[in-house]
Amino acid sequence: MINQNVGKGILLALVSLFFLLQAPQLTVGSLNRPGPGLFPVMVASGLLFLAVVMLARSRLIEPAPFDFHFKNIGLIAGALLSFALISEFVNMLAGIVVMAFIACYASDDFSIRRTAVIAAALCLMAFAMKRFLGVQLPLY
Amino acid sequence: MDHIQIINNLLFGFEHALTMHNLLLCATGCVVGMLVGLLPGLGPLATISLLLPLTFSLPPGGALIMLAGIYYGAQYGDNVSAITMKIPHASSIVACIDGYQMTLKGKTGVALFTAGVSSFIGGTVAIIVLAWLAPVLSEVALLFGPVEYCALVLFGFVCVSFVTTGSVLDGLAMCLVGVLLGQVGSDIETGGQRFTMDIVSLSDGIQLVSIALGCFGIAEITKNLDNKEKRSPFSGTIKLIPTWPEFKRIFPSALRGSIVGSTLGIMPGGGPVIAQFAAYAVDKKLSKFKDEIGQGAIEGVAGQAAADEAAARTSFIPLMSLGIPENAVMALMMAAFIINGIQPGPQMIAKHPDLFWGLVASMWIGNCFLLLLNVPLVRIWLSVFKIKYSSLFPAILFFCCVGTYSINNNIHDIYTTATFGVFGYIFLRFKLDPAPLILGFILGPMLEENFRRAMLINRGSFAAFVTHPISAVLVSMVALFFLWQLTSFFLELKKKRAQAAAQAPAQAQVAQNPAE
Repeated sequence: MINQNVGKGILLALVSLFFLLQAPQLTVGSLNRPGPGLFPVMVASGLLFLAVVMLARSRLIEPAPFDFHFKNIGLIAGALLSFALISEFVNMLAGIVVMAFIACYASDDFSIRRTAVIAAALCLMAFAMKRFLGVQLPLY
Repeated sequence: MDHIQIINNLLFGFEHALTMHNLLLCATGCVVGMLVGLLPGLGPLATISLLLPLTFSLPPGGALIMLAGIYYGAQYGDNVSAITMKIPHASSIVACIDGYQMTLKGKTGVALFTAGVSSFIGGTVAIIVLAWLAPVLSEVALLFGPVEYCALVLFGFVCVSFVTTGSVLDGLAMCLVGVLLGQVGSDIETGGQRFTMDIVSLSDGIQLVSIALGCFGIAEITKNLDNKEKRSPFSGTIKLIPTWPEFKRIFPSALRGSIVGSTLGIMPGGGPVIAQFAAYAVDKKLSKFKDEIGQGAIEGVAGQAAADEAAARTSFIPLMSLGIPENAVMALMMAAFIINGIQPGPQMIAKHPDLFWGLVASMWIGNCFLLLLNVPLVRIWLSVFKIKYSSLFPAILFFCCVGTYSINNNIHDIYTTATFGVFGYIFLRFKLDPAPLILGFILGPMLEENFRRAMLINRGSFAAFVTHPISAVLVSMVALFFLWQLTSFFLELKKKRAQAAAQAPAQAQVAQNPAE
């Protein structure tokens, strides 16, 4: 079992390290002449400190299980990425159809017919947004 | 400022807000906000995030009026789903208690009417407070220099962290993550690139809408899909008009709620969530019918609804007069102000009197729309629950995509939204609330700018933070708060260990003599 309290400490430590490791590429300067790197270094160090405190706290309090479902977040993120990729290289209408099919697959009662209806309705909505609201959508 | 001048200013505001265009935008905001706010998991913060892109093509005054309408609509929508189906959102937890009990007693209509009328009373009281206090506070804001602004932002971070997450450690960490994300892009002084990883689309920084839609929209959709919740739509009868004795019970409670809400709305970290709990507690102490509260009393709905609305209004005061949002919803509002070319702060009332007073007047008009449009037609709005969630969420996903794309007409922003969707989901599973992250992201650049300025002026010395009176008070409050948190954590730990130690011999005895 992954302990939620340990996991969030590690996650936040990784975020702070991501910024801390890149900060030396910027001019840090000094407190009376702060450079672009000084503030991020201070904030990332503060975050690292909090992450360490969280890890220390996790040893004192009862562990909580970390509950993560890969399937749904994978499908939803996949739907968004396919929408972006297909809109960029083919067109947005195709992107909407693919997004609707991938996303709907995440629901328990997936049906091809209903998904086709949803995709068609969303395409019509996109048309309406382009035509009546003037939103610049690369539909075709 | 004398009273006549304020009344004149309010009339000037009504002149701007009562144009046909602005009235339509306010009504649209109220209705759309309510419809989205009704959906499971979508509170005011998520609703504003989802609908923010809709306002980009509008003129600044209209955009702000519509956003304010969306906010109030979403709040009422939350109340409706809480009262009729016990679906709680952050801003309507208290409404679930007595509101749902009233539904079980067959008084859904009265509960919805009470919530609507109390919101109107709360909103009206808060607008009076706002019209008098905001101009005064913007004069106080002129006493604020970079050191005071830094201290105020830090104080706000601590308050919001505690109020939204309950754990100041988790909330503060999320604020700092937000501040760091706000560093991505060009440096404010040198113009150099920071943390962009040579990705061109990040050179202007991460878009707020990408973070907000990712962390709230996408993460919420996924959570709802994980939960596989099957909700049966509300099918009871709705009789809206209460009897005269019921009607008389609304006013005292709504007035108490208005005062509590108006006061707590101004405090850093305050806002509707904390105000409704406080108003409920006050009613439990002071109401004539306090014994009935918790079992479906009108006071249990009226007080919290009035406080909810009043706090939502008065939380605009620090934003518009100091330029500092005091909770995550106000941080989003601040972003909307900036996107529309208006910098909230002490100069806002002087520079944009039409926008300021127009917005104040439109708040009251929004209240009227809630009362005239949303309350009587609630039966129709509830039909949104008849649509299956499996048909609804692809549409929300579509709006997330189109909303992100339409800011810069840039497909690459959708990749950022997807990335933050994944991060938002991970945060959610770690029980890390993304609301402080949004506040940190919006206030981060302001904090950095003021910090660098404070360091330059004070030649790198931190002493100014304790020698300037305003900042000294704020910093000592933060220090006292941390001390209190630390002490209470260790005291609780000690208590738990003492309990465990006391139970251990008893358990050992049971283990030795299982037959007994």
